[in-house]
Amino acid sequence: MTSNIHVQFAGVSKSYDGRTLIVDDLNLEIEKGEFLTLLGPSGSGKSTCLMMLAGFEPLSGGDILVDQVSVGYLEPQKRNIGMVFQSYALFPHMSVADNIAFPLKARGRPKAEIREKVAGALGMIQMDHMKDRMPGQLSGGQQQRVALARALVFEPSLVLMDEPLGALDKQLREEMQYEIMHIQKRLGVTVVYVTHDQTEALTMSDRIAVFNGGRIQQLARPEVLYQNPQNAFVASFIGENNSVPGTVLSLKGSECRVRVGTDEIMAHPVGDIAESKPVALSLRPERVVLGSRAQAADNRFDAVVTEVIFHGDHQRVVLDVLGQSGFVVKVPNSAGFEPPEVGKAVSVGWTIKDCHALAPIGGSTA
Amino acid sequence: MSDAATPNPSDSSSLQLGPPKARPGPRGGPKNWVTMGLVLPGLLFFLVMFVWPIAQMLSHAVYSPEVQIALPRTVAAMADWDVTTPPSDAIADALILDLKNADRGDLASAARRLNYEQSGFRAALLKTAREVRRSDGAKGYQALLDADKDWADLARWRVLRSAGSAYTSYYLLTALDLEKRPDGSIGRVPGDRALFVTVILRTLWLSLVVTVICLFLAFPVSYTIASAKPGRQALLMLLILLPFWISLLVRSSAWVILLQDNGLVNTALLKLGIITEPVQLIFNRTGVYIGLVHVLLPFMVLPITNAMRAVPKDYVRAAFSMGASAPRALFQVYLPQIWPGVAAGSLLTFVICVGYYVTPLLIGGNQDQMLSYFIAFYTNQSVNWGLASALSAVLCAIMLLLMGLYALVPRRGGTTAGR
Ligand SMILES: Nc1ncnc2c1ncn2[C@@H]1O[C@H](COP(=O)(O)OP(=O)(O)O)[C@@H](O)[C@H]1O
Ligand SMILES: [Mg+2]
Repeated sequence: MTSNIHVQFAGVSKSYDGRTLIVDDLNLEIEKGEFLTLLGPSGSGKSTCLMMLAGFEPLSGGDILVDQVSVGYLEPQKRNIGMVFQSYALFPHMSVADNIAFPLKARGRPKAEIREKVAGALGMIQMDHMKDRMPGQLSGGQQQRVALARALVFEPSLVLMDEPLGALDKQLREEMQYEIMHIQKRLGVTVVYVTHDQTEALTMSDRIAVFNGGRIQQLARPEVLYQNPQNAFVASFIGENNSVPGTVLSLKGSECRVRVGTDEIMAHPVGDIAESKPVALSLRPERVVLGSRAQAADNRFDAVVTEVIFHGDHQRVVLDVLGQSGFVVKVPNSAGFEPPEVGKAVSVGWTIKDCHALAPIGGSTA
Repeated sequence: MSDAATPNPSDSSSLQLGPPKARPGPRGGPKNWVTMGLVLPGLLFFLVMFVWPIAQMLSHAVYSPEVQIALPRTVAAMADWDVTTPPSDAIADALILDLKNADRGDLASAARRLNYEQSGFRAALLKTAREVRRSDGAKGYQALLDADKDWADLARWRVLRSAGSAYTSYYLLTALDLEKRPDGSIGRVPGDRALFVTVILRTLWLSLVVTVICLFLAFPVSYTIASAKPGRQALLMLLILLPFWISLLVRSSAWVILLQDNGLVNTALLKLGIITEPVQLIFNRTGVYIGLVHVLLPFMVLPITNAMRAVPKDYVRAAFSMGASAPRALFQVYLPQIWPGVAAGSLLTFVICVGYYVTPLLIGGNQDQMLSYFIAFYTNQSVNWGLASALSAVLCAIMLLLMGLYALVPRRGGTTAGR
């Protein structure tokens, strides 16, 4: 199976000032043809990882292997990696066609081949009619497409994208997400994608590496990441999440008892959990049920409704419960269900396996 | 190529094509007057403080009414003189009358003006004036010959006649080493009197060399500044601007101390055994280059640094990621981006250099003086304002020509994509 590994970060660390580690002992294997996303808050070191892989930043420790060969000291020009920048970095003094032809000219390909490939790339992004425009005359979405075509036209097997859709408005961003996914699957290239937008990561990726503080918090497929976050950071960063701090009373197999204030909650322990240690209980808003539906739940508590917001297909109900305010429940607008009224008492409930007991943020990291 | 699932990009993208339409039509009405009112003081200041004095000064290059002011009757009487026969008694009488009545200052100006075109004229005119004033009642051509026999020379009368016009091409022609021959044609002055064309060419050549040296020195400096951390950038900028706080005279004189035969540089080179006897580094062309480059380097560094700072790091990185070699990235991606800054810096340096005066004066030799030196000389020392103005006009014309060429330079680069 090792032959299927395209890129390998092996114990990579990076410090700009020699004191603080921006990337700390990063180990990551990326498979051929995979769409892997580095997801994390701003400043978590995602771009730094990409820049090291592209060859623009030297490593402070460890090694990066592409196709089992170390590229640690290889010049960026020699790495044959396509790259899409958040700023697009289209050359403003060259036309769209010249921009796309640039990597081919740099490689000294024959004129006829360049013409043919540029035409093909323009076709792929459906911009044949704009080949003579200057980048300044294009809309953001069009510039984005040209940047994409330029990164792919020389047929690299690895393409890096650093927040490529960050400058686009929401609708266009969603369209481009699909377009990039389709192109990636069609060409079979490996993509390492950087974003701080968890929805984007969940939509596009084969696997997601969640970054925080220069470390990978969890590396998993999107659905696993969403359903089974490994720690409180991942749980809160991916999707909406109710986090309730507590202390472990007892731990037994796949269940644990957690004290929250004066109450006790049965939960599903994940990772590094020990008795009498603090934990963060994580509950997805859509996994919590209200009123009569809560009767059958493993955990059941009394709550007071503080806010109800209509969201079309669901209602967002905000509660005071377990001595906490701002506990969110998403109630689907299914037939026959009466949303609770503000100020009224209501019972809430959830099953044990939907309530994850996680190592708290700032505690032991994964 | 497009498969069914791919959303059609042309729909959404066409929505945001191009900038919003420009606002229709110019606006009239009171707002215009407010704008005018705000602009007017600046405009007036500009006209009064810059345009008017410069126009005044330049007008001296062609407007020279001294003879007409001092000798109005003579000028009028000579209007229909046929140039080839000796002047009539009427003309002579007009001259005598003018000489008797002329204001001393006016007469001195006229005499100086006439002397430029024919040496000896000044003495002759002033002497004749004295004579005719003393011998009251002297009249006619003969009376002039009695005062100074050279009035028999028709060339002198011709000079007087041509100088009688308020407008003259004499100064401009002289500034270009040209002269008007007696037959009215224009030709080059003999080699021993030719001076200014050499000076103009020397000025341009010197400025060109200084500009090129500055350009090469500025590149690494600008790049260092532009790629330094923001805090460090401010400090480096300060260092570049530091020389502006020190008097030009002090800086130029400092070079004398450094570069003279037993100065710091020569002493060091001798001690290190690199040279065996002092090298002449000052009061020659080398000194002028050193001094001018030192003074003008900031004017090259600042615009180029600004241009470099405006180029996002991503451009060169993108070029590298696409496999471009360093020279390709430099010449096809980086240089086109900073081209406007390079053009502006070169023009600025060249233009300032062409008009430079103090530094060559202090640390140059006789053969290194530039056009401005002669302008200063004719203004301050020989008080030949006409020639000073004509030389200034030539300088201005060169500058305007350069500006025109600069305006023709295609503006490349421009707004960047994305952010
Ligand atoms: N060239 C640099 N020099 C010094 N510090 C840097 C540099 N680039 C990034 N950093 C620092 O490294 C950290 C991670 O940056 P980055 O990798 O850009 O994060 P991300 O892309 O996840 O937002 C940030 O704190 C940032 O300030
Ligand atoms: Mg980033």
